[in-house]
Parts: sequence; C-alpha cells; structure tokens
Amino acid sequence: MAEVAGFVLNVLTFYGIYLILALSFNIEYGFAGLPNFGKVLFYSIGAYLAGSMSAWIAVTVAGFAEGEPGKPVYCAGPAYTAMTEVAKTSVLVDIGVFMLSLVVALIVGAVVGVISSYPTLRLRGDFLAISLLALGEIVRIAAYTEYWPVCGYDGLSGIPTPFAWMGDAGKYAYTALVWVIAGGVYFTVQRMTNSPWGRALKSVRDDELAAEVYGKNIARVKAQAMAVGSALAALAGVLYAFHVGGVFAADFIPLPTFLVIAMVMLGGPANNKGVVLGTGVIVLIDQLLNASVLNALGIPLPQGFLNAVTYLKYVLMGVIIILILMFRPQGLIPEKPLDTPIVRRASELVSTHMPTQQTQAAKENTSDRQDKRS
Amino acid sequence: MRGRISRSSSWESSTLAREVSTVELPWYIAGIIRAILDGILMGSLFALMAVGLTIVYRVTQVANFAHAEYVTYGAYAAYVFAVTLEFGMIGGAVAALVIPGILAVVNDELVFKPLWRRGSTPLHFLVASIGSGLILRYSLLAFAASVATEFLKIRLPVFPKAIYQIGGIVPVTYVHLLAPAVGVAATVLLHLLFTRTKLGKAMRATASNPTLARITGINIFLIRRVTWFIGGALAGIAGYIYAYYTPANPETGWFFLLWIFAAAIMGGFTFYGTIISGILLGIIGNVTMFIANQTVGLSTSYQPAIALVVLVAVLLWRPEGVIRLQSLSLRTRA
Amino acid sequence: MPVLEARDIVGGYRDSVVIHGVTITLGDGEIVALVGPNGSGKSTLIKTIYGVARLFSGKVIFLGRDVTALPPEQKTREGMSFVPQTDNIFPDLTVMENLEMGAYLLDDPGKFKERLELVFSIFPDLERFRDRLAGSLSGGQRQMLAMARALMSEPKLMFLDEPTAGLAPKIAMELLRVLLKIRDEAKIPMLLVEQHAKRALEMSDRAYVLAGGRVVAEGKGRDILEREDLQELFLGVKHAGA
Repeated sequence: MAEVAGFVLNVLTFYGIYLILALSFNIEYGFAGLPNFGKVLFYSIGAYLAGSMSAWIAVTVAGFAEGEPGKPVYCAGPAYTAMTEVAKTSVLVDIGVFMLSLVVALIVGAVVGVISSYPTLRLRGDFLAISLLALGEIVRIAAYTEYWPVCGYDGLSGIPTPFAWMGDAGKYAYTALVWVIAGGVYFTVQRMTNSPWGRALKSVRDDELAAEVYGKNIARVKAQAMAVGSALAALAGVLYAFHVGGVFAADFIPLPTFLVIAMVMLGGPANNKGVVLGTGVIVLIDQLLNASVLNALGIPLPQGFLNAVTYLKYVLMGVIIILILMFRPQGLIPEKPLDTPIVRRASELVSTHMPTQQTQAAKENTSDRQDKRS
Repeated sequence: MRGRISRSSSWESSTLAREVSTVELPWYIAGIIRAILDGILMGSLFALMAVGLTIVYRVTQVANFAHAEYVTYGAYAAYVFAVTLEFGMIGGAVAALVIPGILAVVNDELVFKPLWRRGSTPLHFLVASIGSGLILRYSLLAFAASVATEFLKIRLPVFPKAIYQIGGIVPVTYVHLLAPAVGVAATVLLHLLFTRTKLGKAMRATASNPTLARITGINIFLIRRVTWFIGGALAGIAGYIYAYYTPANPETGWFFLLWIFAAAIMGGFTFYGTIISGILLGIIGNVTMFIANQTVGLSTSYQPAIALVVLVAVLLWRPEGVIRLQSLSLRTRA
Repeated sequence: MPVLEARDIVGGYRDSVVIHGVTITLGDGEIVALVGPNGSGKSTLIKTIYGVARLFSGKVIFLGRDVTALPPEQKTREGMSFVPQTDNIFPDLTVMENLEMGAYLLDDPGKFKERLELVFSIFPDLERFRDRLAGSLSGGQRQMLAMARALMSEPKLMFLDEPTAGLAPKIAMELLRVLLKIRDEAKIPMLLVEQHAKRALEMSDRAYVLAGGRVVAEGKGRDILEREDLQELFLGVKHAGA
C-alpha cells in the first residue's frame, strides 16, 4: 500500500513538473512554431541553479568549509551530512533557497533562452532544433565532466528542500506546492496565449511573411516565445531538483524533451487544455513503465521485459508521436480560435444575429487553417 | 535518467601519450599527424552520412533526425552478417548497404510518404523524424537489453593493427584507407548517377521543382524510394566502417547526429558542399581537440562542442552554407 | 472527333468552387484561347481539367478516352502537356537536362533526337544555351524553355497558363508567334490562357470568354473582338458614347 501511495504521489508531482515543461513547449512549438528540441537544456539549467545555490547556502549556513581541492565545497563527502542537518532544522533556509531558486531560474532561463536561440531565430526551424538539441547535450557533458556546478560524475544530493523540516509530511506538502505553482503557470499561460501576444505568435507560425507585412518583428516575437518558454522550463527544473533532493547531470539526456514533444503532440498543439490532458497520459505511461515501479506494484512480468521496459517506453513515445501526426495532427483537443475580449464579442454577435450559417463558416475556417498546418 | 547505456569512447582523438617522445618525431608533430589521419577517417564517414541527409532533404523536404539511426543499423547489420552468420567482410558490407537502405525506404513508406500525401508541413516531418528515431534507437536497445546482451556493444574483427607507421610511431590502419576510399567511390558514383543517368537527373529535377517533376511525368514515388535507399545505404556503410574502427553500441549513430547536421548545414545542403564540409569537420574536430587537449587539458568528451561551435559560426556568418553549390546541380549557379 | 472535350466542369480549390459548370471543346489543330477579367477562373479551369486543381464534377474526354479521374502525371502519359504559369522549369538543371526531363516518358533515343531537333528549330536560342543552368535564363527564355520542355514529351495537346505574364510586350508578341509556329510545325492543338485578351483573340482560332467562373461568350476570336458589349465588359476597352 505504501508503494502505491508513493507511486501516486510521484506521478502527481511529475505531472505538475511536466505540465509546466509541456506548457512551455506548447508556447514555443504549438503557438509560435518553434521546434525547441533543446527543452531539456533549460530544464537542466533550472535544476543546476537550484542545486548549486541551495547547496552552497546550506554549507555556508552550516559553517562547513572543509572542501576538497578542485571541487566546490558542497561536493565534499561530509557536506551531505551538514546540508541535511541544516535542512531539517532551518525553515528559513529551506523556504528561502526555494524562493530564491525560483526567481533566479526564471531570469537566467529567459536570458539563456534568448541568447542560445539568437543565431537561428531568423532561420528555418530545423536549424533551431538541431542546435538547441546539441547545446543541451554539450551542457550535460560539461556538467558531467566538471565538478562545477553539480559535482560532475558524483552528482549532488542532500540539498535542502522547502519542506524538509516537516519530515515525512513534507512530501505531501511539496506535491501540493508543485500543483499550486503548476496551476498558476497554467492560468498565466492561458492568459498570455489568449491575448494579442498569443495572436502574434500564431501569426508568425502560420505565415511569417504576412506577419511581417502587418508590422510584427518576427525575430523579436520568436525571441519572446523562447524567453517565456525557457524561463518556465527552468522553473520546472527547479521543482524537479527539489523533488529529487539533488541533481545528477546524467539525468539530463534528451529523453525528457521527447516526452514533452509526445505530450504536446498528443494533447493538441496550441491548446493548453489539450496539453494538460496529453501530459497526464504521458506522465502516467512514463512513471508506470519502469522496472522498479512495476516490481513495487507487484505486477509479475518476465525479467527480459523488465530489462527492456524503459526502452520500450521510448519506442511507444515514438509510435504515439507518429500516429498522432498521421491520424489526428490537431491532437486530442484541437486548437481553438483565440479567447480575447474582441474575439469573444465578435463570435457572440455572429451567433446572435446569424445563428447557423456564419458560425459554420467560422468553424470551417479554423479547420482549414489546421489542415494547412498539418 | 533511467537505464542509459554509457557512451562509447567514440572517435577519441589522439590520446597519444608523451612516452613516445623518445622516437624520431617530436610527440606534438606525431600527435597532429595522427589527428589529421583520424580526422580524414572520421571526416570521410561524416561525409558519407551527411550526403544522404542532404539528398533526402533536397528531394523530400524531410530534415531527418532519424538519419543517424541508419548508421547504427549499418554497423549492426554488418555485425550480424559478418560475425554471427559468418558471411565474411564482404557479406557484412553488402548487409550494411542493403539493410539500412531498405530500412530508410520503409521509414519513408510508413511515416513520411503518408504525411506528405496528407499535406504535412516540414515542421511535422521534423517531429515525425524524432519519433522515427526514437522507435529505431530504442527498439534496438530493448532488443539488446532483453534478448541479446552481446548487442549492447559490438565490434567487428579488427584488420591487422597497422599497415604502416608514419615516422615510426603514427599507425596507419586499413580503416584509415578504407574510409576515404569508400568516400571517394561513393562521390564518384553519385556524381555519375546525377550527371549521366536519367534516374539521377530525375532526382535532381524532383529536388529542383517537385510539382513540375510530377506534371512532367516523372515517377516521383520511384524517385523517393531510390533517394531514401541511397541515403540509408550510405549511412549504413559509414556505420560498418566505423564499427571496425571502434566498438559500436545502439546509440552510436545518435552521437553522430550533430556532426551529420553540421556538415549538411555547412555545405548548404548541397552535394559537394556537404561532402567537403564533412571531411573538413572531421579534420577540424580532431586537430582542434588534440591541441585543446594538450595545451589546456580539455577533456576529449567535449569534442561535440567543436561541431556546435562550427555550426553556430556558420549560422551567424552564412546561414545559407559556407560551401555553396546550387542544390544537387553539382555546380555554382551562373 | 474533338481532341479535348471538357463537359460541365465544376472545379476549384479545397472547399471553394471557382468554376461553375463550364463546357469547352478543342478540335484538331486549333488554338483556343480562354480570356476574361482577373479572377474569372481561366487558370483554375485548365488546372481543374488537368487535375492540378480540384475537380468537383464534370467529365474530361481526351481523344475519345475518359481521363477525368487521372492524376496529372497520368494525363501527361496519355499525351497531354501542361505549362504552368510560374515555376515551370527546373532551375537547378541545365537547359539540355530540362529538355531531357521533358522527354522523361520517351524511351526511344532516336525519338528523343527527333524531338530535340524539332524543338531547337522552333527555339534556336535554346540550342545556344543548352549547357547553361535554366535558373540563369531571362524571363522570356524561361518561358521558351518551359514550352520546349512540354513539347519534348510528344504531346497531342498543350495547355498554356498565361505564357506571356510578366514579359515585355515585344517579347510577349514574339512568344505568341512561336505558338503559331508550334501549331503549324508540330501540329499540336493548344488551350491558351491569356491575360492580354486582344492579343489572344487576334491569334487564336476560337475563344471562350469567362466571367465569374462561367462561359459568357464563345466563338471565333475576331468575332468576339468585334462584339462591343464584350469589349466593354471584359476587355476593358471603352467606347465612345458608352
């Protein structure tokens, strides 16, 4: 029973974290048409920031200074004990490092997002895709090779999490906190994308030339999408680091990016509600298809399958992505016209004055554009 | 995250140690020579891999992120035929050409062609190719992890270690000759295909103006199949040669993806541009790595960073490609 | 028997109908022009007949065979030929290679030579430029190459979509004269869409005037030219006292 509870809690927490990631990818890919296949890069940046800052603050508060040569102080073996001790006792440190990490990650994520995509923003989407994918890999290799910022190969663990002082109940509190933040992000993203800014993103996605003719600065609109998307991804990275209680560079291979792509494609690009649905499905698959989870849940399966199950999971992701592109490219919940006051007023007028015909035409119009994109 | 296969020491550039400094050549000269030799080897392989990506991109508009997987399957096809089934090296080479070629055609028939017929955009091709890559890569991994664990790391039987020692210390192996030789042979054959045969010209015509190609009566479905087969086969043969050089694993191809794209983008997605860029990238990568390793002690695991730096420099400086030749027309536009 | 008979064609793009039931025929050795104001559906009509645009209903009979359902490449195989208005050459291929591609469906090398001689006799300029990349040709030369390419497949019927669009008047006239030459030397009937109605009506044997996706007049080019009501309505010529 404890296993099931732990599993459910884990699924819920990852749901919240991945929801933020998927919403951020939706802004970039779904609304702005930017294939940011380097999602994991910005996710990892958030985690590195959270991990290194909180570890550094914790060892400083603990007065721990016996570092090993060539490594950050907190990478020394005994630092773990010092940090966990601080985490258990100081509420101020726990909450403080968390808040600080959130703020710093949002800022750094946005800046790095704009800088790293700068060379490709005026170019074709595949250039952006490959260069960000590669940059993510190189940053991971660097973090894995160097002791700075997250202790390289060894990884960093024992950082103070916001509810470490609560003991076991802290896990539940943290899941709730993740959901509060994810909910906040959802409503913010809904507002942002259902605004003139959201319309600007879509116009750049659908027809760059026309958008430019209507006075949109395409590179700037794309940079804004990258800034918002990357900031949110870094935020998700922070939540991940504090959920795990540590950071391991080896975790940030491109696989989370592929999960996120599957979530958005499945749920419905440019539809935030769809993304909520898609994320739920994929997170459940991701968490369930896991040898240790299957074991813990007492599901009897042959060893050969258990050995391969993580890989089969990614095969399944590939199949989902391709099937959805072939048979339902608009996703489970298709894109809707913007929900801004003017659009709402217009559609109300249309439906009161010309009940059937016009709305039918409007509907066809949207599906038309969908087809063109698919 | 979970269960990842550790990265093989791919194309580890000359870790030529200083102990050889007692021989005639100074160690750093020997190191540079070796870096250049290895660079030509790897560059030839990059060229073989990337030219397939370029041809496929030109003819079908698919920027195929799954292209690197054909490299892996080439190495594994060769291993199964040459080692497991004992068909010998020639049998291995044939398998490394045919199996990835067919795989690429199947990939197109099942994924990209249906998407193209329903009018998908290049962006959707891109996402679909990520999906294809996931399926190919992880089904091989799943197979290796559950059924055939010897597949987790494969190595083809090595040719005699060295056939010549430059300055008595820099070894030249058969693979160092094989890779450029296959590269040159492929280039010549493709050149002849594109300039002397109706089929090759029709491929270029389709790349140049697909709508008109169709109206003209060119069988674009045949053209697609041939194009994908050639792309897959070239990637496969590169994987075969690579597996002689150093052990391969199910993720081998994936680590070439950046180099493949860097070469194609640097070459402006043109035929000769891509080939030249591939070779240059191989040499630049190895020589820069050697120098950075010896002077500032940079770890060789940073080698992909060189490809990224080159790629970003190209995108900032001349996004249409550094070595520009018009499409597949094999010449600069007048 | 007419070479081409298109009956009750309803066509357009996606869900929008542009052509509302048009019937046209084309006899042997005829040059038939489609004229009419902008947006009257001239280009859409020939694209629909050829299968490039969407055919909603109607029948296309070519040399007595029903080719309604055939996709464009099959129609080419059947002996039809289409010169699009834009993007009608392979810019990355040489002039010679463009012509080879035009003859893609000819298997006999002797026939190819024959065709090539004919094409070079009609377009002597192209022989001089045979090794130039098509993308480097001027606008008029491109149109010539586009027609030459279409001629290479031994067509029994040619569709031309505004071949003179964007060309200087002198070059345009030259091009239209070449059409007569093609008709006379290669014996190929043509269906011609032309923006410049006067030019087209003068040189064609018969013409259809389209407006709003319907045929509003048909007959000999010169007769249409003389009908005052049409001149004012569709040809943009104002008459004194009108």
